[in-house]
Amino acid sequence: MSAAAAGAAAALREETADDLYEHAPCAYVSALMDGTIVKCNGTFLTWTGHHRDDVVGRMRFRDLLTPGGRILHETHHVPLLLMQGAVRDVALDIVGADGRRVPTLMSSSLRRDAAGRPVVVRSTLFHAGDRAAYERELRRARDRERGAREAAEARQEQLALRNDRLERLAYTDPLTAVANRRALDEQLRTAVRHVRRHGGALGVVLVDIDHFKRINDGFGHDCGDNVLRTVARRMREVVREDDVVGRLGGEEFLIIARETGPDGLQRLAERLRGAVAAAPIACAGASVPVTVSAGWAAWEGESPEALLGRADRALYTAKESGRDAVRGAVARTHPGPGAIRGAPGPRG
Amino acid sequence: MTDVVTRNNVHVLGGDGPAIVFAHGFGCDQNVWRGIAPAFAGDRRAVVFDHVGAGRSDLAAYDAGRYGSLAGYADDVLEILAELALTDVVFVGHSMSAMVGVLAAIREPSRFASLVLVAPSPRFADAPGYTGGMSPADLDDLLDALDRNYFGWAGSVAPLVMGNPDRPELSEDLTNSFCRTDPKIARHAARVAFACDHRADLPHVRTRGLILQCRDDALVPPAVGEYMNERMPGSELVVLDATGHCPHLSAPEETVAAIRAFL
Repeated sequence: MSAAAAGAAAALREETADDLYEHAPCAYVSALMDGTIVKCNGTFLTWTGHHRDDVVGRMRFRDLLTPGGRILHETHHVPLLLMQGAVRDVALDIVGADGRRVPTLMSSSLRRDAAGRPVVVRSTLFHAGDRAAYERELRRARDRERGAREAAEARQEQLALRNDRLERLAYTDPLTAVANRRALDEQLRTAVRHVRRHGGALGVVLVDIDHFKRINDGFGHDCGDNVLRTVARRMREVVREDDVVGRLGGEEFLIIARETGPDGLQRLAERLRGAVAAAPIACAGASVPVTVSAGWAAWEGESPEALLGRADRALYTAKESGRDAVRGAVARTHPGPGAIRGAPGPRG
Repeated sequence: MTDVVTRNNVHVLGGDGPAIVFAHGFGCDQNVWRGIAPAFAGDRRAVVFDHVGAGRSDLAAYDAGRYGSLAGYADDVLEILAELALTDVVFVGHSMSAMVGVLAAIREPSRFASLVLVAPSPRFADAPGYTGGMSPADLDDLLDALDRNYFGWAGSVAPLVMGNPDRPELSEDLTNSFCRTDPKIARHAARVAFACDHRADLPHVRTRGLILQCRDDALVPPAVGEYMNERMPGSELVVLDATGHCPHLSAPEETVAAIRAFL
């Protein structure tokens, strides 16, 4: 046998189970059920700086842990171990003799006696220094990202709220809280575009408060404002959800009704008129009877302006008939009395 | 809202007879009672459930406001008892759930026949003139330890790297599944469980109670059991030979025997 071979054989003889246990690349700790440590390997002692005599038979497993680790151990690690017989990859720091923390990844299993009673807990601890540093970085990145995301979301939300408010302001009549002229204009254009492309019915109802100037002069502007608000509210209460109610200006309102033909428009206009006339409006200690006149027009392929023009002429005939009345526009192709234009009307 | 039975993953073992309800502590779920509850299912209705946020409860029902104190958990217990129409209940609560039972019994004493408090503590943290066993720094240390473990256990590394940290990603590996929940919930629940202080509630208990303490509990010092026994009217203290914080798991026979002797 050569000298080299003899040396190798001697080395192999030393490679006993004990030797493997003692110098394994991981730490081994065995403890009784009350936590008393009964065995550990050299790797464990190297990592922790403890002396074997201070550990075996003297320390309990929990004495190796940090305060938080101890709670985790008691609330997670031990229950799992007792329920499943084994636990894998629990991240726990081991406190060394000089107080320094050794981050480890621990797997434990339960050894039972012949009667099935648990006797010993064997734990294998892998050094997790690199992993701990890596995870710390990831957690920091997560927290940073979370913080940035939450801040961005908060900003976004604020912006959306402000936009929302601005938009509402830009499209709302401040006195009556219904759509303003600009909103009506856009809605009507959109609605006309829609029926041009997809077909279907569309109509408008122009509503004008009768003798509004008299109310304003007789009861004051505050009362006039109150009448405008009340009329707007009463009309809004009797239209369908899809109908748009808006104030064109002064005492004139416009209702845009999608999917509504002549019969429906007549009924809608009657509903509006009835709702306003139903009860006098209280203001300035007085009870003011208020009526409206309404003229409606069903879309016949024309521009929004032309449609409004026909509704306006129908409104004119309603006014002429004595007010508190509803009139429909005549068809575009058959000009009739309702479409007579030019005569200075009894508006107001 | 989902119904109470689904929300709390309520299970009933055994048939007729007076009810015995088991409430698990922080960290695990109703599985911890599997060495205890069946022992009572012969002559009683044994009820087990998961607190919201734990086990197979409805995690979507976890509301940081409602569960911001143990009172929210006590509400859940009372809702479960009402749903199952249970009265004369023996309530067995471990750790934080011991105090949950105390709060519920103070609120609706008529529902309860007796309380069995396993390794209870009205306050885990030290205070002037009171030894709870923990310092505020310990709680922070726990949160850190939890974070690190849920970080790995919940397999949340990948989703967070991919910028999707809200997905409750659970890995296929079920090795540690009994004690798993959403990491955010675990953090919050830990704070609620260990930062509570219900010392002032103890004198208001009108239900007879058994305080089961372990000989050597890593989380609750012996003085806490005596403290509770002195302040709870009609209580008795039994110190078990079992060690640790979970006698129902480490010494089920001794725990069952102690409960039977008390009942």
